[in-house]
Order: sequence, then C-alpha cells, then structure tokens
Amino acid sequence: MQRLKAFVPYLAFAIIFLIFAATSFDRFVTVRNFSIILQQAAVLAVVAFGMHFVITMGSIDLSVGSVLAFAGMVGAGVAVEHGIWGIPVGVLVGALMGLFNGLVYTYLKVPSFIVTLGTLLIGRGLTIIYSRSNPIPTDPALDFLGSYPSILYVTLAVFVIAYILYNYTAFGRYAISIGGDERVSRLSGVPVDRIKVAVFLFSGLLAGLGGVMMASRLGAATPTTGASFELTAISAVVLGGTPLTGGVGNLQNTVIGAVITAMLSNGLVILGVSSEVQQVITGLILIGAVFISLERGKIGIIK
Amino acid sequence: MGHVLEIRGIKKRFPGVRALDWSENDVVRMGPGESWALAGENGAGKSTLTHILSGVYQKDGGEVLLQGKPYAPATVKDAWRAGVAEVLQEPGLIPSLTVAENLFVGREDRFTRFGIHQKRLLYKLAEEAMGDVCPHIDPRALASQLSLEDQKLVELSRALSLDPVLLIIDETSAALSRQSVQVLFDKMREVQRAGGVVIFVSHRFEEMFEHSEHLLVLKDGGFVTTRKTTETTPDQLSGLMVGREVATSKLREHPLGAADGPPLLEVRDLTSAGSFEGVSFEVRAGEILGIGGLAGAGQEEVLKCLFGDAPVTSGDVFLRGEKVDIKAPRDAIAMGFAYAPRNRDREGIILNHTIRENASLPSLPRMQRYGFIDRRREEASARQLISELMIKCQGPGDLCGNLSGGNRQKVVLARWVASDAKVLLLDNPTRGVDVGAKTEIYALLNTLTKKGIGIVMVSDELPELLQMSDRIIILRRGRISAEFTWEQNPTEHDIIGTMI
Repeated sequence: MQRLKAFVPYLAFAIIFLIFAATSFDRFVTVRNFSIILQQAAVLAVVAFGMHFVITMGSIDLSVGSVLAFAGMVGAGVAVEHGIWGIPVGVLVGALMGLFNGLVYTYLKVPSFIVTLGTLLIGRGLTIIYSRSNPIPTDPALDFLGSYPSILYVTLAVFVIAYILYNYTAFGRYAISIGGDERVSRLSGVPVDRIKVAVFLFSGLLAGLGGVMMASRLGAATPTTGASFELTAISAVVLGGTPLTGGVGNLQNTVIGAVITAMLSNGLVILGVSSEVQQVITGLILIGAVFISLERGKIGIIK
Repeated sequence: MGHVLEIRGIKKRFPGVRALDWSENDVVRMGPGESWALAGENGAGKSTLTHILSGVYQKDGGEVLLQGKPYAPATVKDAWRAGVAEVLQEPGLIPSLTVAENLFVGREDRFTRFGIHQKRLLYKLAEEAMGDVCPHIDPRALASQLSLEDQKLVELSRALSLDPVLLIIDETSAALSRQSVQVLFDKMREVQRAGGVVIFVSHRFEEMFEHSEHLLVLKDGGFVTTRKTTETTPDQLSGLMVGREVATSKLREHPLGAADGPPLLEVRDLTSAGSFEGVSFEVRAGEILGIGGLAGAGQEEVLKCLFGDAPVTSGDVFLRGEKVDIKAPRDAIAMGFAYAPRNRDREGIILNHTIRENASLPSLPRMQRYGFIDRRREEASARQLISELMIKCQGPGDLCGNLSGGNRQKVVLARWVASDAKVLLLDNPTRGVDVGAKTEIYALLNTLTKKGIGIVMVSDELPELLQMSDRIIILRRGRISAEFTWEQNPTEHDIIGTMI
C-alpha cells in the first residue's frame, strides 16, 4: 500500500488519459490538443510550484488566484506604456503580496488559512479598482510568456529553479522540516520565521509570474481571471500526492498533478460536459486524491 | 479457580514490522490477584501488547481469554465494558474537556437524568472518583491545564473508577513524582486485593522488582519466558531481555575534566522568573555535570534557558571564559550548544523524515557547497553516524518513526555529534530507552567527554545520575540545595534527602 501511494499520480494520469482516449480518441489524442493541455498546465504548474512549498511547509495559500489576477492586471497595465517592464513589475506585485501574507502569518501569528483568505478578497478588490472593471489587452512585448511553445520553456525554467531550491538548498529543506515539525525545527536552529516569510513570498512571486503569463496567453488581463484558481492549484499539488499535512512531497509529482488537472478539464470540454458537471467531477476527484494520498498513520486524527 | 487473563500465540503486524509474533505454544496465564511486570527492550512488543489489551490496537492472530471468554476489544470503550482499564504511556485525556468530563467520557449515562447532563452530579462523581488518588485536582479544570503528572493521576482515577478486573499501567511512573508513584502502587495493590490482575510496564528495574510477583519477558516481538520475580535477579532479567548479561554499575571512569584554564561553561546566578533562581555552576571540558531534583524543581528550564528556548530573567553565562548572550536556539547552536529535550518524539526528531534528513538538520549550513546541499556528503555523514552510534536500521533512508525509542534517541544525539557541539544539554537522555541501547548511549557519552565535550545532564533516574555524573547538583524548588563531588560518592539516600 505504501509503495502504491507513490504511484498514485501516475496511475491517476493513466486512468484519466485512457478514459478520454477511449471515449473520444480522434479529438482528444491529437498533437494540437496535447499542446493545448500543456499550455493550460503551464501556468497552473508555475503557481502550483509555489503552492507546493507552502503545503509542504504545513500551511496553505488561498490568495494565489487573486494575486495572479492583480499581478497580471498591473503587469499588463505597465506594459501598455513600458512594454517588457510589465513582467518584472507584475512579478514584484505578486512577491509583495506574498510578503504581506508571510509577515502577517509569521509575526502577527494569524493562521495562514485566514491571512490568505483575506488577501484573496483584497487582491480581487484591488484588481477591480485598478482596472475599473475593464480588461487590459497585453502588449506584444509579453507575448513570449504566453505563446506556445515558449510558455513551456518558461515553465520548465521555473521548474528547474524550484526543483533545485526544494531538493538542494537549505531553504527547501528547512521548509520541509517546518512542515514535518515546527518545534523540532526551531530547536534544530532552523530560522523558522524567516523561512515562513520567504516561502509565502516565493508563492506570491510565482503567482505574480503566473498572472503575467496568463494575461499574455489570453491576450488580456481581465478582472475575473484566476477566480478559484487557488483551488485548482491546491488540487494540482494534492493530485501530485502531496498530503496537506505537510513535511513530505515531490515537486516533480506536482507537474503531473498540474497536467492531470489540465487534461481533466480539457477532456471534459471535449466530451461536451457542461461546466457545472465539470465542477462536480473535479471536486469528487480532489476528494478522492486526498483520500488516497493522506498519510493517516502520521496524523492520527482527521479534523 | 480460573485465570483472569490468558494470552496465547498473539500476533500483530504493522507495515514492515512484526510487532508481536508469538508461536502457537507461547502462552501466559494470569491468575486473580496477581501482578505482572512486562520486561523487554524497546521494540520487544510490550506497548503493542498493552495497546491490544486496552482496545487501542486489534490483534492479527492468536487468542486472548478474559475470565475464560474470548476477548478482542475493538475500541477502548469495549475494553472498559469488559472490565479492562488502562493508563498508557501517551496522553489519554481529551485536552478540551474538563477533568470531570474526561473521567466519565463514554459513561455519560452516569450523570444524565431525563436526557440532560447534570453538571452538579458529574462533579460530585468526579470528586468521588479522584478521592484518595488526586483530591487536589479541580474537576472543573480543563485537562489541557493540568501538568503531565496530574493528567496521569486523572487517568489513574478513571481506570480505578471502572473497577477493573485487569488494570494496565504502561510507563506511567516515569511521569510521576515520588509521592504519586506511591499512590499508584497502593492502588495497584488494591486492585489485586479485589481479585484483579495488574499488568505493569516500567523501565525502572527497582519498581519492577518491588511491585510485581511475576515477570513476562519479551524480546523482538517474541515471547521469551515467564518468571517468578522473587526467583530472579536484576542481572538475570537483563540477560533474559537482551540475551546477554549487562553490568549495572561503574559506568564512568574517574573524571578527566581539565583542571586548569577557564571552565568550558560557567553559569552565574542564572534566574528565570517562575522556574528557578540564582543557579550557578561550572562544567569543565570532558566533564558530566548531573542535575537532579523532583519533578518541576526547575532543572528542565535550566537547560532550556541555556539553549535559548526559555527567557532568562537575569544572570550570566560564560563559554570558555567569554560572556555569551543567547536569545534563541539558533544562537546557542552557533556557539556550540546542543540540546536533547525530554520529549524526544515531539521536540527531538521529525518522525516522518528520514534518518539522513534528521541527522543533518542542525548542521545543514555546513553540508553546503556553493549554497547547495552536498547530498553525497550528507548521505556519507549519515552512514558514518549510523555505524558510529550503532543505530539499528536498514539505512539512512529509513523513517525515524519506524525506529524504536532507543534508536530514535541515538538519532537525536547523532545530530549533535555531526554538528560538532561543545556543550551537550541532555534532558533524561535514556528516558523510554531499553537496557541495551541505554548502555550504548552511556558509552557514547563517555566517548564524547573524552573528546573534550562538556555535558550537562538532567535526569529523573537516580541510578543514572549517580552512575554517569562526575559531579551532581540538586535543585529544590528552583534553587540549588546541594552539590556532590565524585569523591563524596553519594548514595541514592543522600541525594533524595536533598531533593525533598
């Protein structure tokens, strides 16, 4: 059973793939469709990498959808006048919102669930205020971030950086150890507070980058972009087999999780399933993934 | 007369471990009024057995008869109904409920009239139940507000209020003060007098020999033998438990501490408001300073303050003659302090991480090359520590949660060996550790002091304090009440006198 758990993301991928391939082979299994799935997965994966750090640390970041929207909007807005500068500005906006989350969570000791829920509202409000409820078309200078195939290269680059941070630096190791046991980490000399702030900053930064990518991909930043994207990102991480209890997880599996999530919505659209039913199915799969991936022996009590 | 409890060929598996694996012919029968001590190293299956009898775990095979009838409780409540009550090693109270609610959890009918809980009746019942065990505890207090000791006393009251035919006491005395331990043993005897059986687990040999009539010896999940306690010596029992004789005296050579130069660690008038006051001592390189005292006398907090984990109100700490200011564990580690806390599993190691990850955590900054963790070096260091400290495992990739208590403690110590600590602050370094691993940990401490490391060791176990310390200071209500040198060669009696 323990062995099986490690394969759950791959198994889920295979099953979902086979179901869609069996039901609508000629429309699902095409090079063009796969490229669409990967493009959808690309932005999701970038945001999910940040979420992966947060979840492994034992926290949660519900603000990424709104951060993505606001950062994308500001990025697109700045790009109107300053072209390529829209990218760093958008990323910076995301990072600042993440920093805000991290500081409030760490030093004011407000649970991350609540802080980021607040930022979710703040970010959405700021997006509407900034844009006056109008979409802002993106400048061509941002195109490479959202067009195929360069969007995949951007995601790959982010993955490589995140992978190294996660597995080969003290920053990643400390984040994992805080998720494993915060008290032990503190007594082991882990700079717990700094790492917490940094992890939320990192998540915000990637959500900001994801925002600019998303705006570029869609050709415009809209006030409703990224609504409930935090849930999609969380389900990508969870479908990748990372338990919400923290302390364990593979970043490469989060890539699989993102692809599964994108493939699922793509396949359901092809099958002509209405968006309401899609939501129902996505919800059920999320619950199923948590059911399988959660390591109950390590928590004892489920709340 | 029939047996109260019969256990035959019992089996229990956990993923990858056969926690209990008796053969079909292995049987133990416990008669009315008997008290049985379970003896065995960590990993022998003692706790698994008590947990199965209490309904926490369910057996996978074998047979258990309680008063002649098959007994296989699916829950703790089932066990209670059958007349089996327990005080286990881990916390057994629900923190958010009051003491009284905890006492009668699952037995709400006792204080329910016309479908409504009668609080006044509940508190009256609770006061009766705690009667001569812990009358000082307020039944209205939340369980989370109680000290560990008081929590255990409430659990004991609950167990007794069930009028058990089988009472299980698993590693409870370690959490209790001397007075409470006496209450515990008196109560065990009362259960026996009423015809019940007491099963008793303790790492303290003296207690096992004083308070049991029979010994059930386990090893690596298997059944070894049963003995009459009076016909067995401690050394024989150690032999049965580990399969070899273990020497129980002279664990330390004459102190090697360098006499000249400034002491490695000097503590002057250290005070932490509410915990301890005006504590001064010094530790030389290569020396083990033992700190003793009754539970709550402040010894645990002294270590925490030195490690930056509790606030210092006043006083100075000098390291090699230089004044140091320690604000957080991080500072302390940077200066060469190391701390092995009392509560190993919750403060010492991360159970769902590997030995490698746990071992390198405090020394991660030094495992880096160009800002990246050198995995090969980390792995090699973990392997070396495993062989140096004789940690029983398959490799550095084993999860610490799968190790026995003794091996977990070795991982905690390994972390600090790897980090090149100069001053080790140990809080009950062999608590919940079996005899074999205990000896190995003592040998490790001896080796470390030979390398010039100074150790401050808090211990609740007098034999450990006496056998392992070069010098001993005793705290009484937060102040130093006595100091004993190696030459004075104090006895347990001398020491207890200064604690009370």
